[in-house]
Amino acid sequence: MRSIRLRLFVLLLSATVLVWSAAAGWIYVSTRNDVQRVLDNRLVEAAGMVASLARGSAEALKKSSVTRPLPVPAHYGRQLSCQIWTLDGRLVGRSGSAPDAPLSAGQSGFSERTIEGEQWRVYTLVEPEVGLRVLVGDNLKVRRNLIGDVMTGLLLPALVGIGALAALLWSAVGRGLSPLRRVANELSRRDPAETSSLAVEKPSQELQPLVASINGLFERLEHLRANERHFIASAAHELQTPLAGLKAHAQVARSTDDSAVRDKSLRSIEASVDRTSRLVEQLLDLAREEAAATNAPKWTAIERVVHAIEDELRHFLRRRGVRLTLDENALTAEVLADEAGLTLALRNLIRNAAEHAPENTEVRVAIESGGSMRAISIIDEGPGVLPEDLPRIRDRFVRGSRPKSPGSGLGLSIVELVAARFDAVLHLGNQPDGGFKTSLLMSSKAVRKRP
Amino acid sequence: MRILVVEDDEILRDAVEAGLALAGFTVDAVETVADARAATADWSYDAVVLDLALPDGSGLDLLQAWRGAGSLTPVLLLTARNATPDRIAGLDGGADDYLGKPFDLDELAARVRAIARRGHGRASPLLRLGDMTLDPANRELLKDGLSITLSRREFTVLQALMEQPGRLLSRAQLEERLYGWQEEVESNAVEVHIHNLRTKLGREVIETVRGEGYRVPRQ
Repeated sequence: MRSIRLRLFVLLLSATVLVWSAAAGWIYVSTRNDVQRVLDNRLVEAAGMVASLARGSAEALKKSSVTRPLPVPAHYGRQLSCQIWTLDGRLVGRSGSAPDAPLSAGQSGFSERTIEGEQWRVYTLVEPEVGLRVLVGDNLKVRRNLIGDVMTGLLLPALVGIGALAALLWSAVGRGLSPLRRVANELSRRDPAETSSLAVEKPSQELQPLVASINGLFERLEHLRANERHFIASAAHELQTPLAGLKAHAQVARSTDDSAVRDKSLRSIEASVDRTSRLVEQLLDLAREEAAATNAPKWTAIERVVHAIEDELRHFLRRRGVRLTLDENALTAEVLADEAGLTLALRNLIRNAAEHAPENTEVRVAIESGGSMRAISIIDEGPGVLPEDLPRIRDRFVRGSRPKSPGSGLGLSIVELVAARFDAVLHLGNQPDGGFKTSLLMSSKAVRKRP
Repeated sequence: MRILVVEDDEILRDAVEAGLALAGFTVDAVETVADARAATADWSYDAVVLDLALPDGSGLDLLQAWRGAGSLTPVLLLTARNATPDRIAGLDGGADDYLGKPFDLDELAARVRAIARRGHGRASPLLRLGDMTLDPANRELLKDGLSITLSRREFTVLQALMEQPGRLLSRAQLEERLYGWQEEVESNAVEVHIHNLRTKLGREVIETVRGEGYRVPRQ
């Protein structure tokens, strides 16, 4: 059932009908017992009365063979029937409503019997001294009608009452659900883009958790949206500067007469296109990574991942004059991670390291252990990061404040995002003897030696 | 005119430096807030082109510090944040003009000329003195309605003198206008340019104050 109103209505109405039916059943049973007791007593009394009357005129009765009805008051006639038999089985007297057939087999006490399709309840009184048997009976139909009348008198108003009650229940349930309807109306009226809190005045106690969680959801949504807006704005701004450089250099190249100036501008245009492409590429990486479903982690050899990255960056590494090396433990290590994510994270870290490393130096990939943690570390011999830059260098679009910091300021954001997918934490730090180290910290359970 | 460019992006900085030099400005370019502070402490500029987001701080803070210290040097803000509230914040922070990235180099040059002109207390883009009219935007000099050809440096020297007629400019001040930091100052260059200008325009156009410098007489 889709409607709460209908559901509540049906439940309430069924409960009412059930309780009333049980009550009616109870009343029926107790009324029937009461009627039986009272009417049985009446049969006993009536039999006693007839017997005492018959005792006086017993001899005359025995001689009589007439089955003339005894004179019985009219209003009794319909309800009570009476027969008087001799002990040898002759009917010597009966009331007008009694049949000719014997009402009972003859034993003293109560009995029931069907005569000509009608059920009788009979009390038999045997008087051996006078040789007569007195039978007094009720037609059971009459008894049933009596009980039926009582029940009809009880149930008819109840049936009318249930109709009225149904109408009242329907409107009361409707009124009771009106706070819910107000919340629903408020929700359906809203613009899809709106994320402000629900304007529900004093929500009912039962609705408070609902309204609170809806508002919580809206808040998180608003926060996410603000982040997204900020990110898009930042990304656009980040693109403006290289675009401005491109345009200005193109104008310089076009208007200068000096071939050296023109050459420099054209070279700058090339460099600027490279940088802009890298930014766009990283924005795409980030967008893909944020949209991607997490792949199930599997054991991935570090060596294979690093070699794939080396292949991809071969040209860049050669131009920078930087060699990529794997420590012995890194050569044999496997990591429990999503391979695509691990590759993306390590590629950014290795590229960063190579970008800052001086010419003819190495960028090392090593596995380090400490307690229950393992680290995949990328170590370069570059100048490192200024201590005051360390806390904010992970933020998007933040580059180190050392002059000539290349890159888009997105790399570490991407690494953090990806690393979180395989439960790794990014750690950054200057090396005591110069150089910079970036590490992906993982549980020792997620790092093993290749079997 | 001598201009300071503060921009952290190397490629854009080079482009602005080259572009403004092509438009006839003498340009010094720096990358950081610290370098900009040092440059303005040592030199006087006709205008500053300032990027807002710098690696070691905000250009807006730097601008407010300059204005707080009483500097009147015209400043044009150059920034990727080009929304109206950003412009308002920039202009209220003491900027004279605002240009969003990416921009047209010619427009940048025109705006820099405009704010520098106002910095010198002039509204007209043309400098007039007697029968001479100097047009800095087109790098053109008219005398008696005839166009006279001047080299870039000659033009710069004459413009510097004509911007403030009657004011004495020393040889060092003129050299400062002529050469950026990276350029080697040729000895006697100022004297050579003055000599050439007198040959082209007439002796009486530029006065020499012996041992002090040069000026164009106020009419």
